Amino acid sequence: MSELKRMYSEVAPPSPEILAEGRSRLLAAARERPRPLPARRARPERHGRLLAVTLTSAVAAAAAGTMVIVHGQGGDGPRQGRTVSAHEVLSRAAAAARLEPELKPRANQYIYVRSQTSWGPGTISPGQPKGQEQRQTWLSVDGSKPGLLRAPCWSQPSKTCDSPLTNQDGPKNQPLPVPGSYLWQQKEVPKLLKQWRSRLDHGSTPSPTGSMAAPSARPSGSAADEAWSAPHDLLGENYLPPRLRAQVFDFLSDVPGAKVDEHATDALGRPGIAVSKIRYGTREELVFDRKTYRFLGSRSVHLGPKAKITDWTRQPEGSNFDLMFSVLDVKVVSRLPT
Amino acid sequence: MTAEVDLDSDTAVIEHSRQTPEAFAVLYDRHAPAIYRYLSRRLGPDAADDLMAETFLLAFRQRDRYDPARLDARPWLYGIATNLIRQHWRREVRFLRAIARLGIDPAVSPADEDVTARVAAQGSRRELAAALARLNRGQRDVLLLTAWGELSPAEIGAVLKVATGTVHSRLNRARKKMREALGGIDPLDNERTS
Repeated sequence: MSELKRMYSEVAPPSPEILAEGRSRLLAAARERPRPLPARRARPERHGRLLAVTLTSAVAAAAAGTMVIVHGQGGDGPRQGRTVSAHEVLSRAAAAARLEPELKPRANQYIYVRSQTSWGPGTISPGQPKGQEQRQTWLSVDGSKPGLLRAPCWSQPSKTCDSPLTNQDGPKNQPLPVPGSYLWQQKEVPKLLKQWRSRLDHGSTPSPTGSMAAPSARPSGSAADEAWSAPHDLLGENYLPPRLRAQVFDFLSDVPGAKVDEHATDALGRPGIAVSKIRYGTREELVFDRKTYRFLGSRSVHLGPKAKITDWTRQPEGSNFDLMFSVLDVKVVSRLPT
Repeated sequence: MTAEVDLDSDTAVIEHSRQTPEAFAVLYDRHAPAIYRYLSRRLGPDAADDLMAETFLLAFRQRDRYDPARLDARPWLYGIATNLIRQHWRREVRFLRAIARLGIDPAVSPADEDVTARVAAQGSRRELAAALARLNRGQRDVLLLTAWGELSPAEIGAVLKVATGTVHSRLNRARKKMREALGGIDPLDNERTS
């Protein structure tokens, strides 16, 4: 046997899970039934071919620095006149996520997330002023050290306040990784997805092995509604590795009853395609780039009566309003800011 | 319905998948393990996990362009996989250099080797990896499609869209460089090692 042949003969075959995942992705693409496209008319190019710096997640960091990942604006997106299904949007979002590079933080480092939240009556009363703020968080990768939140001060939004982020609910000296931390999510999110899948398939609630409070603490509704809401916290002010984010989108693609809005916007006003379900009078949306299916952020649209609020510079307490959220930047850093 | 259709050849599967897209999974079941191993050997298992699926998604979307005169889809699939690898060529070089430096090969399952074989293989693997990393992309593609994909020069020329003569010359240059790096051993020569 030649040297190169021997080098090749030693390669491990794919695991059954990898084969099954690839087959599932292929079948998802095969089951997308594209409808006939309308005749294309020449029209001005609305989106230039400029590259856009990713604002969602894909940032890789070396030990000493960071690398900004750049996404193209091309892609096989939905064309004007064609209706896409929620399953198709989410399957494509999963495929797009799988192509993103993944951060490889060390346990003693921090994950830095910069995000923007916008709120107000924007969707219901277009053009009215709305509030917005940018937040920065530094979270210990294994949860062993306190993190930091840097955001506009509540009493004086023009100034920035720093607040330590500690897990006050957890027991002291708990084993690492601490629940909720990045390393904990790496282990637990696949288990959570299995639980949610089981709940969706059987309508039952298996006993959770993790302690992610937000998903399990939600009031019960229909299995599909619960399944839709459960993973949303993972997609918020958090770094979920692309591989796991893809699994979340794959899971959500199987949740029945989701609707598509091809003319949504995210917290930055970027046009997108949203997939949503309505729960307790609120439409919970995930917004994706219309062309690349990159995840842009989430939007929560209150469908009930609006509070009569004129000053939207702060989030009003005790009122219902629309809320939009997008991650702007994610990177790995070795220490907290001074 | 598919039971009534003869899906023995890859061409028949691809033709059938134009009307019944799910039939393309037959091609996946046939060739995915080989494509995975090719990708894993070149880029490592982490990259192969994703790129294997991506190879078949691209193939599925390009199936209308498949030449029905080719009964075997393997060269076509290796070509798509190789084009994906080209987008990650820096990663491939890093991967090879890491094997050369550390002697640890993530593409190989440790459980599949006994200790003696592993120790014996590590030395030559490091040298091979270092030598492969020094080839240019075109030479590496041709050499590895020959050695690992078992494609003929004509098939390689078709999938890489270069003349068969170019394939021959790249292969010759690659073998020459490898021989020099490996102390005279031809990496494709079956007689030198066992």
